[in-house]
Amino acid sequence: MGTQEILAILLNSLMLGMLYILIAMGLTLVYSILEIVNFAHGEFYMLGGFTSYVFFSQLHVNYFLTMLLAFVLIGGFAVIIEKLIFKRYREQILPAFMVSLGLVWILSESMRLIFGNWDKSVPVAFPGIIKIGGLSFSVERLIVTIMGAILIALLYIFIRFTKTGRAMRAITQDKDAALLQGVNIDFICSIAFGVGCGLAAIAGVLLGSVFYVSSTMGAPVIMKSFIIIILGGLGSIPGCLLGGLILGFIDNFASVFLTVPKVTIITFAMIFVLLIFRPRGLLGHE
Amino acid sequence: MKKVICIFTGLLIVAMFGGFGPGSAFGETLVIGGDAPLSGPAASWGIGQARGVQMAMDEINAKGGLNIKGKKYTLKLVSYDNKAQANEAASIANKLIYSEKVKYIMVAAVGATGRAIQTVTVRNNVFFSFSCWGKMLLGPKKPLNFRFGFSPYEMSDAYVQAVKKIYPNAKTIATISPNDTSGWDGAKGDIRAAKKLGIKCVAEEYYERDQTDFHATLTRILSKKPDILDLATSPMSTGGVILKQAYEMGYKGPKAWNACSMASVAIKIAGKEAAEDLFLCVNWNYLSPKFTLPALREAIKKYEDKYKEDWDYYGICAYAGAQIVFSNMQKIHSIDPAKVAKAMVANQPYDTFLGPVVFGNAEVYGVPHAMLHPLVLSRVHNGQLENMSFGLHPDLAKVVGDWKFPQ
Repeated sequence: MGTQEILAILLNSLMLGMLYILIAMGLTLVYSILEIVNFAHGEFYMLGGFTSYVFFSQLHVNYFLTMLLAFVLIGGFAVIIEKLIFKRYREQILPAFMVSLGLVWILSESMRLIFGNWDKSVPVAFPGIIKIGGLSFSVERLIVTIMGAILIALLYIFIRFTKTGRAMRAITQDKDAALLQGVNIDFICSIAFGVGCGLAAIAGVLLGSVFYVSSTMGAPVIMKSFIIIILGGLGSIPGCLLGGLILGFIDNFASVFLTVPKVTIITFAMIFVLLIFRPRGLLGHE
Repeated sequence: MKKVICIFTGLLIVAMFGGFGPGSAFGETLVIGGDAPLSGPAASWGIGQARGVQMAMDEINAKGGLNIKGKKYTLKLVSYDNKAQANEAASIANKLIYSEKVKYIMVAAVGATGRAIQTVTVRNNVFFSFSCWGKMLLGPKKPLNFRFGFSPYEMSDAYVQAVKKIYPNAKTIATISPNDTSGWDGAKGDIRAAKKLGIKCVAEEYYERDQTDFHATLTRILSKKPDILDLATSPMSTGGVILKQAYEMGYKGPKAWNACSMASVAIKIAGKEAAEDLFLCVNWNYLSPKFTLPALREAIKKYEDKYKEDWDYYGICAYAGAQIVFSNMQKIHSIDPAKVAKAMVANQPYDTFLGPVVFGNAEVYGVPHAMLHPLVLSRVHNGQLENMSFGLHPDLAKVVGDWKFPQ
């Protein structure tokens, strides 16, 4: 295999890694602020996919506007879900987990009832292939990679430099102290949940046209998200970034040289060993 | 007066419940089971078959039901979604047989699930017809199993030969197929057929059914520079993604896909350019006057009017197969699965909308229980299917001689 092929693999690994990070960051944000594990997080990714099918594919809405709509509509829906369902289970991992399992079925079966059993195709948003040094690259994948990176950067800016983001960080550090400082815990929790699920929805829009949209597309993604947040460290956003890049590279790069079952074994073996020697993950808190 | 009302009410209740139970004066219901993927990438196979069997049932029910020795049977289909998972398929089969008491399961797809289902149907003497691939699904120890529609053992030789005629310089082939029974069968069938024609297999790749990104796998395959890329048993949506990604990675050569039974789904996902020069043998242009019968065109129009979408090949075969099953039930005046199975082989050939049909290929399976009909090769050009040629399996040719499509 030549240098060019390796570059192509690295680029694809980066694309996959970026999108895994986008989804996993939402999950880790929810955990770090609400202290619940939302097993239905993958379904918000699926809802994002269907948003792109409805708005971009059927109603011919501009692609970037569709992304914004997905974030607002699905994020808004997530806020309602948080208020109605998860609010009473904050800091109760097991009940929240069970409830989110039920939500998985409700959301995926609802979409199946509404949209039918067939997988849906979404037109390519950025058609074309560019050749770099004899290698072919899909324009769509390049743009999806760049969009993924931009969104991760925007999330970082939001958490680091905005008032709401600072409030979120305060809650993760010490909830009681944050409350004493006047932080509206309820409001921030809802926003965090909405932002987290909104990010997953955007990832659904981005990947909907790269692959296809189906009511079952959330399940494989949630497994990868959990691997990332465990690898990176529960509640750690930098850890999520690192974990996502590692998983993206192993998943794609190793798959070129090894079969998928072997790659799966390696991935889980790596996590197993990591959890023995560093239970908090690569960059998790003590 | 009160007494009269009570007696009348009692009689009415008895009539209501007695009227709709087994052995009632209003006739019985023969429940046919369906255990197939009705969602996910393999849904086109399950949904198409369920609708095909339902259409055949509707035809019978419209005429008053099945008439078996003067007793009328209304046909009813009960289908469950096994999501192409073997454990779900076995669980559903148990439910159908033990709770719903079905003696016929006539909707099933995906080899691994077929194997799971037959572990229950064989020991309960239940008639089991399917499109599932896998050599072990038919055999002397499974006398009530029938396959409706081609598997690689019926079509690979003719199919690969037809592709080689169009690309005589093709020397190498690479296959990519799901990592289960039907996936292995599909890939190995085409590899075997290719080898007979001097085409060497340079890559044989298998993937798990929930895989969505194939960049890494295709990097491995395309580095071997195959002349033909064979998607073997890939489901529609997954195959569409593979075609798209192969095109994005620079592959523009011919593609073969022996399980592509509903190309429109794959073409929508892949795009016209990526699907160009895709050769198929279980999906052709059913509305073209070339290599089709008027009755097939009528059946397709009826389906498309009702469901507003294309019909999967295995659904069409399930429709034809169900018509054969029900006609034999009426002919021999029995719904006993064993008797019906024997009659299906004894009463052939059948004149169907697909052309002449026989059940054959005993050379491979030990029993002649694989449906054979004229095989039509088609090619995707500019997003549309073009019918190119047709052939007859040797077992079919033995019976119908040099039968041809009326032109």
